[in-house]
Amino acid sequence: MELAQAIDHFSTLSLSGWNGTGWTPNICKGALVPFDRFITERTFGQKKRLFMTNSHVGTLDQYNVVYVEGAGPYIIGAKNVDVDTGMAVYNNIYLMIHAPEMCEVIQIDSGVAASGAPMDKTETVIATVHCDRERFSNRNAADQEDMSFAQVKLTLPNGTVIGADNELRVNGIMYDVKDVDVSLLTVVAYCIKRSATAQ
Amino acid sequence: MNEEDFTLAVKSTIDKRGVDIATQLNVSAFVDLDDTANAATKLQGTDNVIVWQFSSLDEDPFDPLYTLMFMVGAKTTTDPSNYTMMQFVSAVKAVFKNQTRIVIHDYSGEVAGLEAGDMFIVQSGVEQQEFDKESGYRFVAVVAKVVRKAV
Repeated sequence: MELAQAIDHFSTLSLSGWNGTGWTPNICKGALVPFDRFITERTFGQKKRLFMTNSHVGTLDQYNVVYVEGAGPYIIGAKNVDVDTGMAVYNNIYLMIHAPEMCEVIQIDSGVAASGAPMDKTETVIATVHCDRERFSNRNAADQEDMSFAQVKLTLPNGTVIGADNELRVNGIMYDVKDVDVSLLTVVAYCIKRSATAQ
Repeated sequence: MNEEDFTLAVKSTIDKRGVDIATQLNVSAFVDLDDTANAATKLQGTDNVIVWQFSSLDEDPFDPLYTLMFMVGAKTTTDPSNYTMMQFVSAVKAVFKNQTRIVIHDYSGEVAGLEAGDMFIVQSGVEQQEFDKESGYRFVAVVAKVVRKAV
């Protein structure tokens, strides 16, 4: 009980949650822990945060994306519970990943030619979700030595469905999905950028 | 058919025959290995597919006479003894059998075009097996003499 009271003492930050179309305010109170700067990647700024909240005050379980006033949107990446000796959960700790951009999931459909082969692609946006975009490598073209393609990792909220015929678009840039992995509570898409723009 | 559109007609005719084979064998797809937009998703899966690759279409010695070369075969994933693959390859080889005549149409649109020429297969042989991660591939190498019709 004393442990829960200690968490309560620090739980002064109120979060908003993404409901699919907008932000629902005051979904949960908690605190961003100061030591979380040591768990983030060595990239500019702090990408990952840890948010703790007393279990009886509320949880973020109903939300995949939350908004921290002054910091922006975050994807819920994982949840850990702290349990006392009486097996009671006194603290929920959430790993949050900064997700400042919006990603469109695009369905690619083709017509069928008289040969039976696909023809004439059409694009339809089937979902728009928050995302973290990270360029982590490049890959040389198979035939052109002077050309390389950016390989990008897009981290998306839990439940995002990416089918075999889907592509992703962030800030107008198309990404061809090469692999999709579910990592803890996030969906991670490994992509190749389709154009040579600066973004 | 004019010379500029003839290569497309030849390509779409092989597509047509391949899709027919895939349908007959109840295989999920007929995949052009050079179709980078669609091939990867089909090849990375565990489904069996019929695959092909357009190698060359050369004037021989000059238009309207051509020599055509292409590879067509099968990819299987979980296939003990490669029997499923050999069943598919046998079906492919039966369609593209030596001395077979295939009429060329332009099948690239929504409806088939008029007769654009003929291909006459002069060589059809099973090649050695290839492997890509968990999948095996085997192709039939086909050589055909092609005549373009002027109309």
